[in-house]
Amino acid sequence: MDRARIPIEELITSFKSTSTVEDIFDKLEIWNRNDSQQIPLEHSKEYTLRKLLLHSENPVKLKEKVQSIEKNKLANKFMELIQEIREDKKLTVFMEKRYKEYEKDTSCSEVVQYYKDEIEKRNEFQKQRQIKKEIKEKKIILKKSVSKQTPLWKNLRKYQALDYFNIPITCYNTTNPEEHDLVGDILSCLQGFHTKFINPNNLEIPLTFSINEPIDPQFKCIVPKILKLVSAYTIICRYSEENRQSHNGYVNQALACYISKFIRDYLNFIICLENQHKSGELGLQSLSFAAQAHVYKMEFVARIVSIITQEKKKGGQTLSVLHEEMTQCYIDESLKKLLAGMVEVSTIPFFQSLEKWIFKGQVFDPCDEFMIKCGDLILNDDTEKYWNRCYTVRNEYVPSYLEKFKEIILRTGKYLNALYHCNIPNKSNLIYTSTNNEKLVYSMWCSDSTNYLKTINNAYMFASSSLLNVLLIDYDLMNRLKSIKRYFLLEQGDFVVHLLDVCDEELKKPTDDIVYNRLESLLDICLRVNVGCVDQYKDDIKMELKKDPLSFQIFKILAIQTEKEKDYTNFQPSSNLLGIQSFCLGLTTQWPVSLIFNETVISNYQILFRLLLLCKNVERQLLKVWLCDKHLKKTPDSSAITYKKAFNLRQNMLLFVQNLEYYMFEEVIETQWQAFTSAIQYKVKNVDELLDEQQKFLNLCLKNCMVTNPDLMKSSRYLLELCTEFSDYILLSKSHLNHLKLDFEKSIQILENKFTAAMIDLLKCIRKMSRLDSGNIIYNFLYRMDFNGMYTEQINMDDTILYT
Amino acid sequence: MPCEMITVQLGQCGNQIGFEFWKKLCAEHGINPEGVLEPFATEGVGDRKDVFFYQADDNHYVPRAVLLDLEPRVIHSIMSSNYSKLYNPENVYLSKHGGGAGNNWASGFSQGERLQEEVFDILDREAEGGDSLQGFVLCHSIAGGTGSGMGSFILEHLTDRYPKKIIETYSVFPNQDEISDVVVQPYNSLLTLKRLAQSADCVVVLDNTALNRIATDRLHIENPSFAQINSLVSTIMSVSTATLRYPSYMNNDLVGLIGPLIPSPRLHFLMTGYTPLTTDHEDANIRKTTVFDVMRRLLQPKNMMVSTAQERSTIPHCYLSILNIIQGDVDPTQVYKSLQRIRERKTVNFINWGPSSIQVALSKKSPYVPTAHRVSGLMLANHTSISQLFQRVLDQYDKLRHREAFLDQFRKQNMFKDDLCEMDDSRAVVQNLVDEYLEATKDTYLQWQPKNAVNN
Repeated sequence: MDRARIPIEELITSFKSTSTVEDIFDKLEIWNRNDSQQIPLEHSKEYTLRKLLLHSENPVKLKEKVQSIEKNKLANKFMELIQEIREDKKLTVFMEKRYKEYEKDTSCSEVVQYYKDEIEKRNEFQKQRQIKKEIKEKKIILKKSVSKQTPLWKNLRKYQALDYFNIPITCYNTTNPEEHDLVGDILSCLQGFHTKFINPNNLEIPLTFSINEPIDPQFKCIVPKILKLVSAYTIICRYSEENRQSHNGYVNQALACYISKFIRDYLNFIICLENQHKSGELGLQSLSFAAQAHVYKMEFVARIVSIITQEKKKGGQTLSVLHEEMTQCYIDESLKKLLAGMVEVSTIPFFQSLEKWIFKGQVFDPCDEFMIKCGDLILNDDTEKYWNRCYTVRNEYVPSYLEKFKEIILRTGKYLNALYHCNIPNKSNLIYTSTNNEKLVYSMWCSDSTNYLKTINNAYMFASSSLLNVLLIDYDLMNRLKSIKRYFLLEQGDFVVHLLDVCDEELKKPTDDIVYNRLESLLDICLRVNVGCVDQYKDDIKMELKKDPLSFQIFKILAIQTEKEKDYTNFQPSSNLLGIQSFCLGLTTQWPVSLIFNETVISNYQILFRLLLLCKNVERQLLKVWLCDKHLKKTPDSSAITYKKAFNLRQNMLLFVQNLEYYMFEEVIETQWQAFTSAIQYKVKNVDELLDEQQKFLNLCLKNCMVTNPDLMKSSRYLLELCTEFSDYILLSKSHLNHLKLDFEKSIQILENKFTAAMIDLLKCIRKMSRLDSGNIIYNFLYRMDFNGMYTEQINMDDTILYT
Repeated sequence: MPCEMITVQLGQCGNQIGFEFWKKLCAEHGINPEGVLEPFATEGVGDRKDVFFYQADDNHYVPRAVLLDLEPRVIHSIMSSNYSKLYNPENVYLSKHGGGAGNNWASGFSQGERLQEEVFDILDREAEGGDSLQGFVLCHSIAGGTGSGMGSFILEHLTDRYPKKIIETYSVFPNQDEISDVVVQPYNSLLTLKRLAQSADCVVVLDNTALNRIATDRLHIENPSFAQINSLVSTIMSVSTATLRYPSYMNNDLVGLIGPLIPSPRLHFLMTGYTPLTTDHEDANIRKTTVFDVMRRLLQPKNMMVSTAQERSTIPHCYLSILNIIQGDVDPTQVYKSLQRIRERKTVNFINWGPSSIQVALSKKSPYVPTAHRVSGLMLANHTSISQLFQRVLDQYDKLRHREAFLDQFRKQNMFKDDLCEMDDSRAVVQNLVDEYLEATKDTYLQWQPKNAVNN
């Protein structure tokens, strides 16, 4: 009540009413009660309208008006108010009286009309600009845009800076202005007023002015020089106003704030001139001089500002513009100082965001102007995608002086962010806190001692080493890698032997016939029973049955040149694989370990696993044949040539498989593994490097295990297939022993021919490759296979045919 | 668990080398003489103790070993040593007769026949105890009575009873340089060789001649004792099983280890070499060893534990296969470079009827047994010159047989009561073996057929 009393009292006095405050209160209460009576709105509306129309002087116009405002919620209240006013005789009389007085005050209604038009025009202009901006803004969907929450201040108070709002001044004599008048005019103009002699041609930037004809020609050449200052002023002024709020970003806002201070200085300068002018001491010439002293500064600022506005720069872009200016500005100390101020102030919000990012790993970017973007990805989806795409550098918003360090900056925050998601007890340790409360401060020159660079580097070192340490120490990464090597790369040889023994029956079946759970529990037994090693991460190992053949998985993962792709697709689109072909290990990991063992990485390991398991199984089959053969030593038959051929073929195949295995295990995987682990120990400084090293390790393994070369892959796979064919044939024929001797001899001969031919093929292929690439380790395999020179002649013979 | 192996120790020699072997295994796995894990070994280093041991209910380790003898001396000395509690007493079998085999193969064989039920009770029980038995390892000498005679009997019957298991033997061949007090040694050797050729799947030949020479020439021991010789043997036995006990990428089961060494089932006699050799008192004089040193020295005949005269032979003897088990701090690239240098020197002869190469197995070493050398290596090789050893047996046999010497002892036994055709038969088998090895040196091997195919 008391709060309402004062405005009501004010109203009473200004309306010269006779009623007391209490009267008004009573009345208000009655209104309130009426409101709560809930008269049907439609009814009361119709009713009041009818009543109003009865008494109206101009019923048609009133009706139109009512219809136009009908949609407005307050239309009812408005009509009620009019009705109320009409009924209150005293008020009507009073208002009529006031209206007459008002008409007297504004003697010239044309002027009012002119104002109205002018306002209309200006509104139209503003509106169009606003629409343009809204379209632009809609494109960049802002999540937490401030400009959407609060109305644009500028839209409410449009003409604060008197940006040439055209108020015609009628009472001056327009002919032959005195110098004094002209100076006065110019001074007004310098503050953004329309004047008698000088008028803006349009409202677009940059403003040009037209000077009224009657001016003395001797002034006419001075005035435009002074007017340069005006142009600059308008540019600066508009920038300052447009960016007073944060819809163009905090950086621009900060810069605008600094510039408004600059404008204030400018206005002070104008005021001084005005004072001089009032005391009659300011001639046009001296005004021109004074203006000259200022114009270069103003134009300097105007130029920068117009770059920013025209190219719609914001955030880091604005900083880039300012930094470029900084580096190019050598001459003038005062300009340098001014520019330095601009840079310093506008850098603050950006560096605040940057600090949040590199110290805490948080993206603070309400105005969509920061150099780091946060994507809409959830950790659980796909860690690899999350890691690579969740946070990205927005190159366009990187200030030019941070261009070189953007990668480091990205990683710093990314690592901290990753740490935040880790399950570690003391998370407060994960925020970078500098020893001497470092803050990022801009400096023009960038050297090792530059403050921001030092801080960024320190933060980076902290973040990268923290995450790496968390992974290596808290999450025991080395042992996890060893576990992967043990199972995926078959280092735990006895596990594989056991696995193939135990799962023999299951793995012989077509994949579709496999009882998944049974095989899974068998794998589980193998993992558990294996007493040879105490691997604390073996529970992460799970089973997978792949639907696609190994060749297809290779094709899917590796980026192979298009011409060779078809070799992979042509391999074998057999739909139903045997268990041994589809069996594969998988890995379940939690963040942040899943970061290291992401899908691609695991897929790479799986390719190696499947290939190695295939070899192991072929070896096993051939050794089964050996076990069969050993029974033949007592029978005289064993000396028969046929048997010897079969023994010899088995031995050749066994040598091939074991050589291949030895080559892949010891010369490729183990050698690369040594390099990989020593890189982790001595070289790797952050997680990305760790990932790179791992990928390098895998790529080299895949390449040297002949996986990525379609020709080698094809030949070696074919040889393995022949081995399987041979062992299947022998093992089957052994079970019903009395096979036809001739048949046996023929089959062995065919297999032998095929095998030798394929072997020569492979060795030739390797030889050709090692000629092209002398450092290629694949040559080791050839060397091993041809150690006693069995194949040398054949390889060379065909070569001479090829090369001559 | 896969890959379990049962060791059968036979006779004086077999039990002695077996004893040394178990001592070595215990040391390597950190098991004390009573079968209890040493405190420093409780962590485990990824070794597979279960290949040769099983755990009793109180978790102490028991060797999968069967100790057999016909006379009590050696077994008594084992059972009175501090390792007496290691063995399962039920697995120690001493003939009640106790008189031994009198260095007579026929006596040993017939006693084996008589005692077979009791012996195979033990073996069967032991075999059933394992989850997946891989094979048997037989330790014996071929010259004496028990190891050769009873060993032959057991070999024949093990093959019949366990056709799917691998039977590997460590067979000690008699010293040719000294005159043996066992006059019937040539007979014993020949008769045992037949069984080794026909019933064993893999025979690791331990030639006492070479072992003694190595001990005197290489280790500078003037009169090497049995213990010193046996320590060499146990080293060979333990390293040759190292890849099974310390699993890594490859050669983790016995068949994978010996399969590729034996291309043709009859040619299954392996010779061994080990380097660097040291004795306990010689540790001060250690040279730097590299992988190449090791691999080069392994190819030198003087390091072979089989005495053959490769240089003097007119026959171009050659390797059928080689497996080098390299232990220690080894970089795979060094291995490759060594192979390259060896091949370039062309000092190694291989067969020319099929591909063959020096296979390498990189194996871990026991962390509990300190060694002075960075790298050490064992070579398992299938070389045709092993036939010289058999030829020597044949020659000596022929000499004795020609004179009809010492045959009375044999004629006393049932087997030779009527005739000596078992001896003739054995001679033919061994002759065939020699012939096949000699044929293997020629490139026509695959077309060769024995002139006089012998029926079993």
